[in-house]
Amino acid sequence: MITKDEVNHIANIAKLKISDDEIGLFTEKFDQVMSFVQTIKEVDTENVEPTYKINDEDGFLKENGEIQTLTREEVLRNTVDTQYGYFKILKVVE
Amino acid sequence: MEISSLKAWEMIEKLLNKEISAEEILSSHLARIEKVEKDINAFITIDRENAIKAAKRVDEKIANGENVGILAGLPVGLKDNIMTKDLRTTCASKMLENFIPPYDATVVRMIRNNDGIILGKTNMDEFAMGGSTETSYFGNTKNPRNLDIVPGGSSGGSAAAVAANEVPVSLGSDTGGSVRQPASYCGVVGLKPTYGMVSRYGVTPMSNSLDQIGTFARDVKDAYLMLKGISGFDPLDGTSSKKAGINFSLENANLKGLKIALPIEYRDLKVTGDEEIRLLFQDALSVFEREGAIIEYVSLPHLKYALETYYIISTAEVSTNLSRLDGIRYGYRTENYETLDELYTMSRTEAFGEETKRRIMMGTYALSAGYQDEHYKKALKVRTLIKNDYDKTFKDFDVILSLTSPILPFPFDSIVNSPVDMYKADLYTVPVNLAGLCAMSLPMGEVNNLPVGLQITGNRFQEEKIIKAGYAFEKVVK
Repeated sequence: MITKDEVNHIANIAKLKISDDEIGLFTEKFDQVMSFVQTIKEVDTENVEPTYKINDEDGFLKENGEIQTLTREEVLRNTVDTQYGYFKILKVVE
Repeated sequence: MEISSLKAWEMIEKLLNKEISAEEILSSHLARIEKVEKDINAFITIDRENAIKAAKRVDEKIANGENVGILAGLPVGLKDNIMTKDLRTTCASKMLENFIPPYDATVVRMIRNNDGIILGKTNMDEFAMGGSTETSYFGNTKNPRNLDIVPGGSSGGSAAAVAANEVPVSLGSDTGGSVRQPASYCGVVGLKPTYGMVSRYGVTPMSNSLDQIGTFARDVKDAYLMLKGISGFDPLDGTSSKKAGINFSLENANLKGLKIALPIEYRDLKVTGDEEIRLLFQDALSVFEREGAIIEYVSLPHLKYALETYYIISTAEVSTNLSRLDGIRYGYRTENYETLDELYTMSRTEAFGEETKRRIMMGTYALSAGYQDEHYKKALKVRTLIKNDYDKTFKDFDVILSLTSPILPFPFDSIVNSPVDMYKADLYTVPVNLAGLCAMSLPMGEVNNLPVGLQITGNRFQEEKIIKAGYAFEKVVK
């Protein structure tokens, strides 16, 4: 059984906040989905390698060369606040 | 005759014969959209102006006697997680409500290079998470077959747009069935190619090891045509395959001698209310048999763990992927913060919907200290076992047949409230993504006036087998 404290702990790692109003129902549904996935514990996976990627080809290297990437204007177009051509956020060091 | 009710291949034939123009094809679809879109809500954004310009260019090319590409003049709907330069791309989330991509996805470039016309961006479940398109920030899309019923998801807008004749073809993304299930629910064809067949460059990743772009169409030939137009090796996608590409024609497609496997695990599994769907499946099997296919039951013992495996792996990847949405470089930024940490947390909390949050949380949990081996690593090992089951089956068989969904398309606001029931509806589709296979859903009949899809699954890079089988089946049942 997953507790409200555990849900708050996971939310904190995921940079999410579950409000006091939502926490009850959220924990209940979260517990349902997490107990649903528990059944894989019964599978015998002794000496089985994990599959991280499904394609059997090795990756490839790109040719080394000059390419045109995004311009500064294009990169900054979707942010809320900029200054001197940079993303502007809070001051985090004194 | 309405142009918008033709098949895509018929439109192209008539275009090349100069019976109709690309502008006429487009205006027929725009008129259709004008008429039905207020009820269906398949689109988040429609790019009328640029579509008209693109259609004019195709007509000029034809008038000048220039060669045109294989998608010439076809209006295409794109799921709104596929980047279109200068055209808003939202992932159906408040988070990206105003996001304007600075570049095109490779598939968008390929559609344009083949003279296809980008008509608009279709509705979807938020960040492609859901099976009904009800988690969209932009409202529900309705099923053109019955407006009280969901279109399926997550690519519900793309499926509905094709079913409602708003576009002849569209693209979706399929991480665990998000092309095949809405195709089944809307009564159209949905094709999920092999992992690595179509470039994922410029597609917002949900679960990188499972995601693949797929095509929607009103018949198998159109789905094939569309896949031909977008498949191929792309150096911009590190998981793109050198084997990618479609180099076969549909001529002489038949079912004679086709070796079909039926998983015993699916036969033994009973889902409440699926009796009539199963009868329809038996009818479809008898068609295959009558046409000379050989059908046998086989065991894929680890299929029964596919759902759990899928939900652990996919949510783990979701949680890492969506961590990029922090309110800084793009996306929604809260006004309620005093520290950097609050900026991240409140931006994400205010802009993500409930299902997105739940999946981020599941993935974070599965990857967290103390649980990683127990959940994530374990799931990756079970994934190996599922893949091995398929590899073994495809040594002796050409294709696997099953239902696409164990349940009929359902009314709004029903199972969306029960996440576990919603996840269980993905039973037949998720194992295909875990093993990177290709699969197609095509209509096989109706129950209670609602469409039911048949799923044909093939081994990796065996698109030829599933498409030809589907094409031959479709011809017989028509």
